[in-house]
Amino acid sequence: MVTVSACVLEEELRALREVAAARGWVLELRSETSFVLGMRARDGSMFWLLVLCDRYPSVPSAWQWYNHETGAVNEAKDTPKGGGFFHGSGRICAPWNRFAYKSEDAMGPHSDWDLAAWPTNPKTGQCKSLAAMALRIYVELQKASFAGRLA
Amino acid sequence: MQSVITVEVAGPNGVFTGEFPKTAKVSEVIAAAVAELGLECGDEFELVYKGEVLEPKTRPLVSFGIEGEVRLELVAVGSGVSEDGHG
Repeated sequence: MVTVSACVLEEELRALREVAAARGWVLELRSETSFVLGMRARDGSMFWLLVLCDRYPSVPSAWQWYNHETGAVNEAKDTPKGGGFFHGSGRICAPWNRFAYKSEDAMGPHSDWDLAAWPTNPKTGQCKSLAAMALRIYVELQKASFAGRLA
Repeated sequence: MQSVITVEVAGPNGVFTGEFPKTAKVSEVIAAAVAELGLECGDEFELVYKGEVLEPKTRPLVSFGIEGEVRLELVAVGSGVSEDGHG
């Protein structure tokens, strides 16, 4: 059975593919509701994200730093620092990231945000599509405040 | 020097390409991209060039050293957390 999340992901992938092609990102589908995204930072180094979209958009998609060779997630050597919302915990700290919520991830910085209300959280703003989220991360990786990797 | 700037804007709904006079304001490019990409609330987006947010939006493109063909990103304002990395 095709899920709502799978339908939404398929729909949003059109824009994400277009942006990825324009910016030279690597986009790999892993399942009906997940994908891997690779993008270069300001210093030319590559960062990878594993993005889980099960239950999306009822709850936020889940963005985590990923090692494309080993499949490991959330390792310090694969995680950027600096930037507007690269939290010291290694989590992307924004309402549109499921792993920013302590209820979903023990390392999530926020216990004060309502998971289901992510679209109306003021910090979400208009960052409500997968392409918008990916662009936000990409821009943070290009800023002068980008400071390499956690380890 | 060319009087027209060709911009490729990557935004939340895809990519927009357009030509603007070099004196066009940042806000005018945002408005055009928002309309072309079918977005709402133009005030809630900012334009980024090589990792630098183009502010204030009332300044013309050329005042940021932009000319010829450039790639810009249209990103949502307010989606991040503070610069110190704390939510």
